[in-house]
Amino acid sequence: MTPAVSLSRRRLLLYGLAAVPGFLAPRLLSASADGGDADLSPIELAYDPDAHAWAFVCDTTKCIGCGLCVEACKLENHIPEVPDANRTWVDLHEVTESGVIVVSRARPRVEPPAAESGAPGANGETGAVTDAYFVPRLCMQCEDPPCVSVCPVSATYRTADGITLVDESRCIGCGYCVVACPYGARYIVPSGGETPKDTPGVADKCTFCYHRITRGRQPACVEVCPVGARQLGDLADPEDPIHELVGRPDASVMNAELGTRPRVRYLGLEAREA
Amino acid sequence: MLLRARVEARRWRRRTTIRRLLGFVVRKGVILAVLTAGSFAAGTAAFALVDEFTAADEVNARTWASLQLRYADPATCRGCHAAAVARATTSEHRGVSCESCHGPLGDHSIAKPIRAMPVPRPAGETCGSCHEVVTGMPIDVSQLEREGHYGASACLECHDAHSAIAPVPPPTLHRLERLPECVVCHKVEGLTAAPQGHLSEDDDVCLACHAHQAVDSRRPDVR
Repeated sequence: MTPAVSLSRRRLLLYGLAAVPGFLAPRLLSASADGGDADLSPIELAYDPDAHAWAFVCDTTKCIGCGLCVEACKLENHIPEVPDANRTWVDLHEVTESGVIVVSRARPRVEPPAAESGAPGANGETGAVTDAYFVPRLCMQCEDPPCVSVCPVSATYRTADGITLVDESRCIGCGYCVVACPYGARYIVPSGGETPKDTPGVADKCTFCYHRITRGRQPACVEVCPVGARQLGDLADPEDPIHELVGRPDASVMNAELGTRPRVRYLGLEAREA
Repeated sequence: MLLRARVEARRWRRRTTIRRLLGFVVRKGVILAVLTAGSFAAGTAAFALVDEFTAADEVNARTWASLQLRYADPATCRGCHAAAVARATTSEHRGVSCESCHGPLGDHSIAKPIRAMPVPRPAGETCGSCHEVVTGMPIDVSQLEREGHYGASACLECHDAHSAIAPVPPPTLHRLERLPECVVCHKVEGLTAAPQGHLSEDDDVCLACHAHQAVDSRRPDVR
């Protein structure tokens, strides 16, 4: 009572064994003929992400809230001309008599200060303003980024040099990362007009101008800041002046209690907020 | 005797195993060929998929790294505009990038023919973005009310745009020659006597120079 077509255990194993070399051949062939990087430009080849660790310092004692950084970022990275679509912006912090800090968006260029119109209670129930200063804002490039953890399609990732980037081809625009970011550093690219990489509908964020820093240049916001309130440095380079700034006693990270370990440090912020 | 028989048996067994295997290969040649081709195709697809997943981040990071630059730096501008850059970098404006006021160099040099690159806004607005009085500015930045500073005249009528230096205004022949000595009223401790014989206090001609006193204390030459 044997079936017409039978496959004994031994034979099945033999066939399986015979298929192994064929299956492995593609990997072995590609490994032996690895020309891999032939299609890359010399700039990309010269840059080694493992040899850098980017960090950023914002000096709240220097920032004048002029907004040149916001404008330069938009031009450099083709950010839509929508007020809410920003990779970087400047907040105005007004400390009032009662100790409440009223935060509002700093004026865009020389138009009337937004604080007067938009901040509820800036001069009302919380008392007179005793101190006011500007706080430049951008992606914190967290070492433990919540936006990366929540992405359901692994579209956002952290590079070896410490920059969190978005793969626009994988992003489905669900917006989880936008709400997960405690610093409000992400937005969904609106359609119409200029967009980074011509991909509306996906999440976008500050990259520290990755195309600039990988070529040995400064981010556009750092380049145009007239008072040197923004500085980029490489923690992997022991000679970099950033070490001195990061080590200053008045240097702090924003919302350290969240455990995101930001790579952006603020000078003079903690003392004034205390 | 027994040992020899055992060796013989082993040899025989080995021979039959090889013979069987060879027979199997010959008999199943077609099946094997199909099997190898199929597994090769499957292997290619599988490894491509694995590669795509493991290398996707690196591949995408490279696309971010290879985007086009738009802004440059003052060193690049100096190549053609050495004099202007020198005036700016040796003045109070040192540290201010050319592109802070002029906009991205890429729009200037990539365009063919080269597009002129004036300051994209009226001079007053450009200067105002840093020097207009705004809540929250650090005190060591020169701030002024434009209306009060020489009657809101265009900044560049007096100031050099790059060095920001303005020549001291020429001595003015005032219409107040018959007034008593200034110090009669304006003592070191401030104004001690009521104005007498001054022209009306909101005279535009006077205010053109004198209204900004409270703001611009760095101009002791104008009182």
